[in-house]
Amino acid sequence: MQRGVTPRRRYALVFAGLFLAAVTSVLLLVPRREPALVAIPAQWRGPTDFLLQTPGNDLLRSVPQLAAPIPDYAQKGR
Amino acid sequence: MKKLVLSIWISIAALPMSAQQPGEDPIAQQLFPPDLIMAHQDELGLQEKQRAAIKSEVLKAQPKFLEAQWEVGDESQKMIALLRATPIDEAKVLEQADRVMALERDVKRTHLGLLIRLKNLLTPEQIKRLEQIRRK
Repeated sequence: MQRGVTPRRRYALVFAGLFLAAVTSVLLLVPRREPALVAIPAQWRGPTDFLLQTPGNDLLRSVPQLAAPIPDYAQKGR
Repeated sequence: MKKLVLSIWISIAALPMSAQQPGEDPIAQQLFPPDLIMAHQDELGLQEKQRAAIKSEVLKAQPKFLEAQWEVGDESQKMIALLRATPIDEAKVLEQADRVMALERDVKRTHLGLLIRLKNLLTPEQIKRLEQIRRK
């Protein structure tokens, strides 16, 4: 004699089916990055690298700019 | 049934972990650069005593950074010269790299010390405000 599927078991099967469908759609929808063939160390950033950007660092790399050109008073006096 | 539900919850809980973005600076997030503090000093309600202390700390650290930057530049040039040779003397380059990296370590250490002292000068409310400002 064959036993029928109990309601509890049916719910479990439906639940498992829904879960599998949800996981599959998440996996299909989330864009996946192509795995890099080689780990490129140049892309790796050390956790303390930001400490090499010291305060006032940009001041050393630039020259102060004057907003407007300096008028040539010597020319104007003539 | 219980096992099934449990395994589903574990799978769902594990999803955000894989979505974590790389490339963030979790250490830097705990500290505040002096420029950020100075730019928002009124908003933070910095006391005159705090302002003076912050200024003094930055002024003390700046000549050290300048000195170290010149040294790093000098030692880096030497390393570049060694790398231009054919064939490259690996032992010499690695020895020179050790000098450059030791200087970089000093810069990082001095900078970290400065940032820690600056954070210690702030009140918990000012720290919270700075965190909000940074998140904007």
